[in-house]
Amino acid sequence: MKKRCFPMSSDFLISTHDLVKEFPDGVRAVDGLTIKIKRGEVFGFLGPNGAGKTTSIKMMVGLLKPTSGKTIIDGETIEAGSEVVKEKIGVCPQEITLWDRLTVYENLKLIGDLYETPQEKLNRQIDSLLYDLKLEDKRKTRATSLSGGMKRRLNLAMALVHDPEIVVLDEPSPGLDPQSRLVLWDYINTIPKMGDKTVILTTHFMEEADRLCKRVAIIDHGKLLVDDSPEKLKNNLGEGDVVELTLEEMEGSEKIAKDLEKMETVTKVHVVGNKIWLNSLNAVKHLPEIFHQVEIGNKNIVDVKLRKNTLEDVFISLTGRGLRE
Amino acid sequence: MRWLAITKKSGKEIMRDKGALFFSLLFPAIFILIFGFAFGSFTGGNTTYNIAVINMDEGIILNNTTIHHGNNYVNILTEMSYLDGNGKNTSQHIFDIREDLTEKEAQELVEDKDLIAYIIIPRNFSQAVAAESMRFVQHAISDSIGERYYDQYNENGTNASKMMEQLISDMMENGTGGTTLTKNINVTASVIIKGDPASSSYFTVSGIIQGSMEAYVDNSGKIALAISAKSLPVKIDPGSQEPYVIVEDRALDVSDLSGFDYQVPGLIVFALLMSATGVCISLSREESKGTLTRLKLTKMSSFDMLFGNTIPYTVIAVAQLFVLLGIALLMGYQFNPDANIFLALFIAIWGCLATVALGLILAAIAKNEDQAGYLGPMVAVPLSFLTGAFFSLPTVTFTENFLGTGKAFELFDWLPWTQCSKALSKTMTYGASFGDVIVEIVIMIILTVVLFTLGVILYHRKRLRSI
Repeated sequence: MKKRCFPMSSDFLISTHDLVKEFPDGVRAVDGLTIKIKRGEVFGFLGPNGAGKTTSIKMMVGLLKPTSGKTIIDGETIEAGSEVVKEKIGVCPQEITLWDRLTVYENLKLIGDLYETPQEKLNRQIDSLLYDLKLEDKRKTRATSLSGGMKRRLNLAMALVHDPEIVVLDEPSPGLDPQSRLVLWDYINTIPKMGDKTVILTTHFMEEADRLCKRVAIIDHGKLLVDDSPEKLKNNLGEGDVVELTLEEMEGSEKIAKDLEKMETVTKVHVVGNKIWLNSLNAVKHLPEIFHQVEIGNKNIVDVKLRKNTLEDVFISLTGRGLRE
Repeated sequence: MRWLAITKKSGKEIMRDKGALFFSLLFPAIFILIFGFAFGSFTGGNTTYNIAVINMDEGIILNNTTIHHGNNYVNILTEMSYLDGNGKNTSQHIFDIREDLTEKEAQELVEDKDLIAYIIIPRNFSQAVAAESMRFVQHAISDSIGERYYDQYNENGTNASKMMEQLISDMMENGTGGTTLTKNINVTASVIIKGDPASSSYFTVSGIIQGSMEAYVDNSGKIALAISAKSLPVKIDPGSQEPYVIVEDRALDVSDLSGFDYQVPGLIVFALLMSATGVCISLSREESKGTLTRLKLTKMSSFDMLFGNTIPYTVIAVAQLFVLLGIALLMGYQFNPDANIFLALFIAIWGCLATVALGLILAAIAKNEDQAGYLGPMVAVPLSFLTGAFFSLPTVTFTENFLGTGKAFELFDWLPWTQCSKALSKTMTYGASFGDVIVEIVIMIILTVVLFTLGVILYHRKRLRSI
């Protein structure tokens, strides 16, 4: 069921090649997706609802057969339902999928047994997960009696119980209070350090992707739009950082604004009274030029504020504001 | 063993859902109570049927004596009682008869379901019975004469024919002793039985009345013959020497087992089949809750999933079986004293397995719990009737000698529950041994394995395979 395609690459653990999924009703959910995910990184998979994220993930983990294209994991082309894929991948689905009448321990034990994890290793793994995810004292509690946050954490633990190399987290944190979210994020941050694990994270929370991911891919209409680190994306895409300048006096601020708008690094300028707002990609780097331009106009700056470009700004600039559903 | 993990999971889920467990065990209990009530377990095992008789019979005068066959027959119906285990009459009568009603009143009571049926005995009933008796006597005498003629022919050659002609002539002209034989009595009397055809009791009542009526007329002929034979010039076997009017057991065919006792094996199969819905719903829940997706991501195979679930659900089905049997016994269920109860259990357990396999197939078809809830009964209820558990089905025979076993194989024999129902009925009601039901058991096991395999394939294709 597995084919050796090319020698194992130490850099890229997962790669998709022209992955296409067309459903019987003619909807092309994924349209030629090609991405590469490095071993040991947290890779963010972002996109609006219906962009094709979940379909792509399902093909990558073998739950869906691609219409064309292929996924290569650790040098091997995978096929749907392949045992190799099953062993290497742990998936934390978007919905909380637990057996309500089983205890926390029994839920984890069931999944471990179905992956045929050796009992000793399984028990160690369960103990460790319960400790790390702060579920130790809920070991014998039935899943139905857990709070929403605990269920989310158990949902995540079940993806990790068989110690997979690749962990797919499909929107792992919706509906969580800030404390639970922080526990979850802290844990996700530690996953790559546990034996060089690779994490694929899909999320709608840009802050989550920004904080957790080394690289993110933004897809829309089944196609890859960009694929880079959050920092680079924020510095290179969207309308840029916002710089707020407060001048000593209102007089002449309009002229200064017009001069700033002519600068190559400035994308947009807006003026109200003695305040000027301007957008600039990677503004910190261009601040000296901006200050210089104000000085040329013989005006004094009394205050400067900088709001960094966010991943959400990048996301909106790439995918637009239109609703998808 | 991955299937064992599934078995443990499902077992714990079943045992911890106390409400569902309670109702799954309560179902056969309620079920058997209702059937027990419907088939007479609350009336000491047998039911006394309310009927009415509208007796218009005018009687007949024979040799200066008036005979009222209508009255005689009504007396017989009134006296009819159920038999005990030793073949002795019990105090429980079969009928509670009202004779004070008009046809219109009786009709209204039937419509109100206060009467099971009413019988109209016509004016000429006695004449018709007498005519039938005469025909019987004539037939018996003719038979006897024929035999005599043959014997005489062997002894005296052709002279015998003349002697026989004389004998017949004498009998017709001078009578046969107590009764005058009339050459042609053409009287037809129609006894009408009316009742609600939708009522199963009506068919029981109608069958008993028809049988007893035939017995009455038959006996009347024998008695007339017995009286006639006393003075016949030829020796005739008079047949029965019983009193003028009797009720023959052969006509009633009432054994010591009640309708309920006969129904229990079928009820077991019905209750088993109904549990297929529970299996179907439970498996569909995995799909609805998304836990099936989680299972699909593991190394679990279709076999693990289905075999692992088969065990706990079979245990539940067996528990249901014990509840059903226990309550049936408390309600007075009597199985055959020779019945091998372990053999019956073995058969029933295979019935459970077949039912779970059916549940797996249904779960492969139903996309969610709601669909499973409708699909289960939609399939299980008709199947329970097709197995012949409650009534006989039209016979469509494929072969009269199935694989050299000497047994016929019919349309619905393809269902493992038909074999289960047959084998259970033979074992529990008629006390059949393992050797007597081995063919049914072997066919049932083969069909169950086929069904399970089909379930695995379908479930894999529809639920576990990537698309």
